[in-house]
Amino acid sequence: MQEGKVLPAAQINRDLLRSILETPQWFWPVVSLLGAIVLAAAITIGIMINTGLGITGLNYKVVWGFFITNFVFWIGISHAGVMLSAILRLAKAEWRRPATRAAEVLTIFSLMTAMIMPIIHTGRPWRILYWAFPYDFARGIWPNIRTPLVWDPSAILTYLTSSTLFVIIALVPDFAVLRDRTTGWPKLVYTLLAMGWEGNPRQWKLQIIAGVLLSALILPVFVSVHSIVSWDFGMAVAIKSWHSTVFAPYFVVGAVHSGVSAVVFAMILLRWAYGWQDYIRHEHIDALGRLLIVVATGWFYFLVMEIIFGIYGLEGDELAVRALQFLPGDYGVAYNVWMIVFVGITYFLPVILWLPKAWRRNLWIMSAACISVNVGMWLERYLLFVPGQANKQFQTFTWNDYLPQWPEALIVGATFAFVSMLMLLFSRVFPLVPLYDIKEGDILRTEIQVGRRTVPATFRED
Amino acid sequence: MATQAILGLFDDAAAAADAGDALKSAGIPESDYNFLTDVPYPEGALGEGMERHRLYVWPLLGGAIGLIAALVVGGLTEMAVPMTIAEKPILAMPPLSVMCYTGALLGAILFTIIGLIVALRPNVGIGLSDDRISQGLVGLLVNADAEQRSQVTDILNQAGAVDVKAGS
Repeated sequence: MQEGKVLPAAQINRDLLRSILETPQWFWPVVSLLGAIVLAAAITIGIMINTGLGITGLNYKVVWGFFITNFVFWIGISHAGVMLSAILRLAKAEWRRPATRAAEVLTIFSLMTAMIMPIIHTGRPWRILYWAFPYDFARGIWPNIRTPLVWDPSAILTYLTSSTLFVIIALVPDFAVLRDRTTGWPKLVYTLLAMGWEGNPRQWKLQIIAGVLLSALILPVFVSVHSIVSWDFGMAVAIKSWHSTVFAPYFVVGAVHSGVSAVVFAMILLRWAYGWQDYIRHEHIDALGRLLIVVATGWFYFLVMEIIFGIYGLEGDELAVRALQFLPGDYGVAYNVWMIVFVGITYFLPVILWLPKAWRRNLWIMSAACISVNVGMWLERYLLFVPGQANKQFQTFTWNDYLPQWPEALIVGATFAFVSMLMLLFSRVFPLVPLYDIKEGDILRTEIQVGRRTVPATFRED
Repeated sequence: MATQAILGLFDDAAAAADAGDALKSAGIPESDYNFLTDVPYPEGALGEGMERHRLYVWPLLGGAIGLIAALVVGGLTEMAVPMTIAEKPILAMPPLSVMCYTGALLGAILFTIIGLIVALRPNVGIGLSDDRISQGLVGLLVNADAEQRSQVTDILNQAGAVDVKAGS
């Protein structure tokens, strides 16, 4: 799968650094618009802190609503970075090259966004310090390390630290290229970041080995982060439909499903915005489409298993939640309709769109399929968390539904603007497609004769 | 004796490797010259020796330190605040193992970065360089003393250098 032509290194530099050395006309208006949305959300958060969570739709029964749904959604998106970068790097998949950096950066910004959600969800965000960093000797407040709510911040902060360092190490050779092409204070900054990079064999060897080591070390973190996020729910004995042993793999595979779909959509947008047709090619989108069929089917298996595990025990409380999820009832919110929509747009519609090769190479169809997956995966989390809380539970006598209000809707919507804005700002100062990775792919490329055909091939070093 | 940096630029990796061999034959030790490239060439492609390193040791060391730190912090916290939950033990191993897993990985990752920085020996200033290296040319940077300057320049030119530059 080597469809593109070999480009001169000078052209690769020019094309991939264009977003940094030249500012497109649309750039600042788009960033300003996204910034305005983020500002509106920040003001809303301020109002929410001042007046209390009463202005949201959260209530006595449903305490984890839009914010926690959005938290899990963004944690899921963050799994694309490691999936694409670390696994494909270790597997030496040639088509990973243009996708890795965008995926890794999306990981960092998604994690940062995800972490905001539980903090504002507490209502009094400063108190989270007592919970996540709780060594308040004076007041005798200590952490209960038996709860996943303490494991969660430690795992997420480990993942954020690892991903950030991973990106920085991969960026060092590109910092050196920028150092040689800028003047003034940008040159000073790139010089410091490049740490004296010259590109000698020793530096390259250490950089590659560090990349391999970090890839191998981040993979277990990647698996543990979403497992621990799933335990926030899976270890809650009191809420039926949450207490499931299948949650950890189900969440991890779901995260890869939504994350890789998000990366595909981001790559299509970047290709269009910066004219990177020679770098993000149809073959790359095609390969990711095929990968997504496998991931989506794995995710669908776990979805079915999660439902079967719930029903199999025939516990009355559990069956009541399942009835709320799947059967029409006298509730304000028709969860069963949303369930049908969610399964349709998360699995059946996108997989049908990904099956024909011609459709996988159609960027409009791929964009539609990937957006569909992510809308569906957001709904999945909502439908997984809210009905279990809304249902009547042991020793409680209230039934409450959850109707999100404008503050939640605005804040959740603004998180998409926030991540988009951060991605755009990153592309303004650092290359979103790794220069040396693309050039390395070109120098290792060759053609071999197989019978009467000449086919493209790639050298690989063990 | 004062040395001067001389940079030969080659448009072909094989020519640069030949120039390296010629320098070696002329008695210039490998430690006095270095190849500069904008991509990682397969090891030995430029005729350079195998680079030795101990980067693998760092994540092992970091993992051990992270594991011990998580064990101590987590265990001491549990014992310092003996919260009795049902009949579960005060020192609960399953949660502690989760903390240890995360701690070990965080330690391994942080120490990998520390090890890389130590091995790279970062230096903000760079020696003689040329922007054309980032455009695909292979650089051969030689530190030559006064007696060797003309000989090195000749070797680089004879090997097919497209340009030879001398530092101050």
